[in-house]
Amino acid sequence: VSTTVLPHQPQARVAPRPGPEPSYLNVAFGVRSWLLTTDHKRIAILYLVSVTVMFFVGGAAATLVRLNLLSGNSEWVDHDTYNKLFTMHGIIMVFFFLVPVIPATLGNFLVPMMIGAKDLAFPRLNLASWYVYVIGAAFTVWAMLSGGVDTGWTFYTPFSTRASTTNVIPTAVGILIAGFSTVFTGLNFIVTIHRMRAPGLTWFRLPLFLWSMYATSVIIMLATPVLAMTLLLVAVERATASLTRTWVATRYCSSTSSGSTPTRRSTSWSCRPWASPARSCRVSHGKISSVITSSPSPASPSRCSASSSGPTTCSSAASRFTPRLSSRC
Amino acid sequence: MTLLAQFSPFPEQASDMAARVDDLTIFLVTVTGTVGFLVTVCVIGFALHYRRRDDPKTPRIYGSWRLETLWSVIPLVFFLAFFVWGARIYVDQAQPPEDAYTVYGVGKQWMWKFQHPGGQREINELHLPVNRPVQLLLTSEDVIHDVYVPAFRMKTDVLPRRFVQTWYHPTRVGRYHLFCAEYCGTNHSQMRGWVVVQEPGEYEAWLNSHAEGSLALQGRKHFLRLQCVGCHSADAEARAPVLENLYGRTVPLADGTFTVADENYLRESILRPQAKVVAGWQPIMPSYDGLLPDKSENLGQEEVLIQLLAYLKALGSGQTPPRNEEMAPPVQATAPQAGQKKDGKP
Repeated sequence: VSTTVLPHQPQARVAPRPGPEPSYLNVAFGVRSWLLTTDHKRIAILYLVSVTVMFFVGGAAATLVRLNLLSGNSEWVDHDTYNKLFTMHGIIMVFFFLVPVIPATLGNFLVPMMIGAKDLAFPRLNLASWYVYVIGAAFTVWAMLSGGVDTGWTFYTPFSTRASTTNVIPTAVGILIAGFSTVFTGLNFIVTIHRMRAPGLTWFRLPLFLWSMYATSVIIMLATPVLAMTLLLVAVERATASLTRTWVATRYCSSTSSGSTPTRRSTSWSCRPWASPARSCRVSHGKISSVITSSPSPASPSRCSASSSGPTTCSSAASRFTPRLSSRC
Repeated sequence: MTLLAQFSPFPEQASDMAARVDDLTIFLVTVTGTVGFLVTVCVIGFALHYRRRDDPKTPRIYGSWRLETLWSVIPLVFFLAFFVWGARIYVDQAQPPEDAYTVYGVGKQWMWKFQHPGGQREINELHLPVNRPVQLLLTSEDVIHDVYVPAFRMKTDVLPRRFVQTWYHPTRVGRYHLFCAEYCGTNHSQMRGWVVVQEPGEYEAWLNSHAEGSLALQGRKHFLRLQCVGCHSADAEARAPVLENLYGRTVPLADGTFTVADENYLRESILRPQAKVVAGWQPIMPSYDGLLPDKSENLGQEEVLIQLLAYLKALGSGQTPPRNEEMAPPVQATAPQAGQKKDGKP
C-alpha cells in the first residue's frame, strides 16, 4: 500500500492506519527470528552485517600495513608480521568480502523481487549458506590470529607448500568451507532464475542486474570447485612434505618440519647451507656469539654446535652439514 | 625539461624497451582515462536528466542497431590495438637477439646471485656493458622470485626447477634498482640490488678485476668432481653418450621421439635422468638431485648446474677429458677435517 494519499479518498486521511506497514523488518523480533529466518531479505541483511564486519577486519590489517609503511625505516612490526598482515588483508578482502558481497547481499535481496518470486528456490539452503560462511570466516580469522599466514592470498607454490612455516593448512580449510557457502548461493540463484521467473519475463526481458547475477553464479559454480581442488592440493603437498624426501628437504630444515611445527625465523638461518657458519651463529645468538666468533675460544664449538643442531629445528636434514658448522665454529 | 623529469611518474629509461613500454602505458592511460571521464559525465548527466519529475510519463525508447554496433565496434578497435601493441612488446621481450651473450642468475631466499661467462660471480649486483644485448638465464633455488629492473621496464618470473630467460639491452650508463617482484617470504622486501651499466672499457676492467676462471672451466671441475666422465667418456668403454657438441642438437630418445638439447633438457637429464633416455643407451644414470652442491666453494645446486651447463655448452669435439686424467685433490681433502662426507661420489 502506497503512502501517497490520493485526493479522491478523503476518508483515508481521516482514519490513518495504526502503526507501520508490515515488512520483513517488523514481521518478527528477537535474535531467534533473525538467526532462524529463511526470508531472503533478512538473510541479505545477515550477510550485509557479517560481510561488513569482515571488511573492517581486513581493513584493520591494511591499516596496520599502512602504518608500518608510514613509520619509514624504523619498522614498526617485523618482516614476518608485516607479511602476515598483508596476507590477512588479502585473504579476508578477497574471500570473505569481494566474493560474497554483491551476490549474497544485493543478489539475495533483489533477485526474487526482480523476477517476481516470493523467495529464492531453496530458502533453507540460503540460510545454511550464511552459517557456512560464518563458520569459514571464523575458522580463517582464528587461523590467522593464532599464528598467522604469510603466503599472500594467492598461496603460490612452492612457497606455500615447502617454504612457509605458518598456518597455511588451517587458513586453506577456512577458505574451503567458505567456498561451499558461495556454491550454495550460486546454485540457488541459477535455479531461481531458471525456474521462478514471473510469466512473460523471458530471458531477453531480464534486467541487466539479473543477467549479471546469473553470469556470476555460473562462474561461481565453475570456479569454486577448482579453487577447492587447488587448496586441497596445497594442503596435501604441505602435509606430505615432511614424509617424502624432497628437493628442498636437503637444504631447508625449517621446511621439512613445516607441515606441523612452526619454526622460529632466527633459528632457520642455521639450517641453511649457504649461510656461513659465523653468520648462523651470529644470527642465532645475537651479541653473545658475535663475541665468540670474533675471538675463538675452546668454549665456542660447543655453543655453536648447540645452536646449529637445535632440538626442534634441525632434526634430520640438518645432520648433513651440522658437523661442518660445529667444527668450524 | 629537467624539472619535468624530476616529477615524472616514470623511472629512468635505460633500455631500448623502456620507451616502448612507456608509450604503450601512456596510450592505455589516455584512452581509458578519457573513456572513464566520458562515462562519468554520462552517468551524472543521465541521472539528472532522467530524475523523477512531477510528470510521471517516461518516454518509450526503442533500441538502435546502428548505435549499438557503433559503440561495440569502436571499443573493439581500441582493445585490439592494445592487444597487438602489447603482444608485440611481449614477444620482443621474450626473445633475445642472436648476438646476445649469456649471464646466469639464481634467485634464492633472499638474494640474487649472478655468474658471468668469464666466471665472475656477484651477489645482488649485476654489471652489464652499455649498448650490448645480454641474455639472462635464470632459475631459483627455492621458491618463485621475479627479477625486476624498473629502469629497463623488464620483469621476469624466476621459477624453481627450470630455466627461464629474459634479455636486456641497456642504453644508458648508470646504477639502477633491481627488485624481487614476486613475494618470496620473510625478507622479500630486502631482496634487492643494483644493475650497474658501464662503458665497455670500464666493464672490461671490472671483468678483469673479478676474474675467477671461466664458467666453463669451473663446470669442468664439477664434471670431474662428480665423476660424470666415468660414464660420459670419449673412449670405447663409455657407458653413456659422449656429451661433445651436444648443446642445441636434436637428440633421439628411447621412446622414438626427439628433443632439442637446450638448457632445460640438460638440467632435467642431470637431476632426473630417467625422464628422457637417449636412444640406444641403458637408463643406468642415477639422479644427481641433491648431490651437486659444492660445500667447499659454498655453491648451491643451481649454481653448480649453471657451471656444468656452461661447460657442456662449450664442450667441443675431442675435448672430453680422459677418464684417468691427473687432477688435484679436492680442496676438502687437504683441509684438516678430512672425516667429512665427500659430495656425490658414487
